[in-house]
Amino acid sequence: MKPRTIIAVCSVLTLFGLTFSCAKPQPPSLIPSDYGRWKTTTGITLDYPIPGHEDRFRVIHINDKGLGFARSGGSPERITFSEGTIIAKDIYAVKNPGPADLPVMVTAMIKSGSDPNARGGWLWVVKDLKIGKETIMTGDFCVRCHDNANEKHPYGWKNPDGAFADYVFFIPGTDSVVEANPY
Amino acid sequence: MGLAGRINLVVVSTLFIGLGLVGYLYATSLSSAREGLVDSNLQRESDILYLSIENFMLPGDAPVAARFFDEVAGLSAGYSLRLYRRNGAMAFSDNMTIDAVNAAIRKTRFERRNELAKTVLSVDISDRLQFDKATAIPPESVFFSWKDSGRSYKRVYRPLLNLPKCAGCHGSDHTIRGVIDIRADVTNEVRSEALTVAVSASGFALMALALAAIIGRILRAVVVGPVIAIGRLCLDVSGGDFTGRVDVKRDDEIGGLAATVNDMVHGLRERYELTKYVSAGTITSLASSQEPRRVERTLLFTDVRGFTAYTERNGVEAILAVLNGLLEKQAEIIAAHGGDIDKFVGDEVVAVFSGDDAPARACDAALDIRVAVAANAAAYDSLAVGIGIATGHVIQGMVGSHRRADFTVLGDVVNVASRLCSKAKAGQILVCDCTKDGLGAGSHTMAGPYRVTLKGKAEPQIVYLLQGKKNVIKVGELHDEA
Repeated sequence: MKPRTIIAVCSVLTLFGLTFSCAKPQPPSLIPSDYGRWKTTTGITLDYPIPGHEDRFRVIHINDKGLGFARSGGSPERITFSEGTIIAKDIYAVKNPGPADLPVMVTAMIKSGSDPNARGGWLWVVKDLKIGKETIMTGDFCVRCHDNANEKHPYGWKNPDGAFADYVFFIPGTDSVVEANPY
Repeated sequence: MGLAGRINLVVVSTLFIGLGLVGYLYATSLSSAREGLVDSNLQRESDILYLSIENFMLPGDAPVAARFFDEVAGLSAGYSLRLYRRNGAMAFSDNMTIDAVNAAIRKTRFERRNELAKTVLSVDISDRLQFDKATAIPPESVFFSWKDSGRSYKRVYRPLLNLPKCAGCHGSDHTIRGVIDIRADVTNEVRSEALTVAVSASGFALMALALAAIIGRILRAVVVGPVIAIGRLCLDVSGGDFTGRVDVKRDDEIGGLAATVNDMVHGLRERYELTKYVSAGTITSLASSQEPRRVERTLLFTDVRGFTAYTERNGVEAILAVLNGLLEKQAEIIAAHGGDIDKFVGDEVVAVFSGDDAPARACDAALDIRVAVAANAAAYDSLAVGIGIATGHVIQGMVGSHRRADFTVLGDVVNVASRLCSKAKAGQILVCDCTKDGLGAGSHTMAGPYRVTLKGKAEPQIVYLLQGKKNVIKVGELHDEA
């Protein structure tokens, strides 16, 4: 091999190495991989249609930190989830998945009030489980819908007194009525 | 293309590219700012409409919402507002929603309308892509430009969400309730922007041309002009004219270059003047660093007859004028025949001829000198020259000291030529037998041979009296022969 060729190959390899060593590292995953082992927020079977997810089967998990949310008492009551709370909702492709079916998407609320992308104190994250890509939702789609949790609503405990529920529809431990379809 | 043209090309190209880039950035930023402002206004308007509709709808005042929407839509000519259902059909155009809501709440909350819209509009097919984008999950506001009947519009498709609190009446099997379509007529703004960009671009172009002209003139005056002047001076010098100067008096690089060139030309002029006092052989020797050597040469000596007596009869100026005239003429003729003036010794000329035909050229030169002197006898106060020519081996080389030396010839031939010159009477040309033998057969007419005793020579020398050229063919004769 000629010296010129060797120099050219070395230059290309050096450039290649520098390019990849300077490449932006992958950000850490916002939704932990073991979220499926967390407790669920409700015992209600979430297979009825709702705006946003329509009639696809859903299971909502919450991390231990989220279970320690604060209730102010009084009326209207104020519920506050602590920083670091993660509520992850498995979304299946169909209304009645079989035992072997896996969720196709996870939508998560991550309490992170200081994050510039937070809306209502939460980061709203969607993870496509087919490709493993997480997306922070910076629009108002998620927060605008979940804003209804802070007033009377048709789901779970229904928030009859219009408590500020910190954008969470299913407050752990509040399932007084288990119903297949609220409508 | 000359230097000035190239510099101008670079300047103009740079200015056009630079100013063109600035103009492009200016135009795009202007357009971007205008679009951003319009989009921001559209976003704000759509937010207000969204919240208004939502707050009319929630208490069940849908008819009020419909009327409000119609009135806002008719506010101004340059403003268009529409509300579509999620399937792209125009909202409030029929009783479909009223029937669906009454069915969902299982009572007749809203009465069916008798007067329905005469024309039921729906989303244009050309806008369907934008509409689908706005109603996809996640839904988002879509801003886009649109043209119709020669007018320009900015539009936004703002999706209306089916929120949980809406689901009681509208059902929960869908996410998007509909889409608000706001169109803002921006024709005047776009035209104004285009005009501004066109005027600015023209201004930039004129500015570039003006700057190019100014910079070109400055460069011409500061750089190109002096460089051209220096070039002309160098051209003159190469043609033998050392009298010129570059008239640039500046304290910069060009001024320094001009001063250096002027000094160089001055030095060259001095050296050129010096060459008049040095033989061509000396100059050639200096240029080629010739080593001393033994070579065959033909020596030609001339001497003015009766010059000593002449100097006694005439004044200095007249003497020098006549002598210089004579020497000048002889030098001219010798040079014309390829001879090299070795030196002037008083009124004597010593010339050296080299080459195979050196004897012939030396003889021709001698004949021409004789003719020229005779022809201008009045100018030379009837002075005449005697000429001696000898051919043979000489030693050629630098002779002298380190301070002053001449590239000259030494040897017996030199003495013979000198003695022949001394023997020759006014108008006579004496040549040695070696010179005669070197001539072409019958080329010159000679008288002799004569036996002549020369000073310093024990034996008499055979010499000839050169009379003329034998076979001079006049032009007319040449034609006759042809």
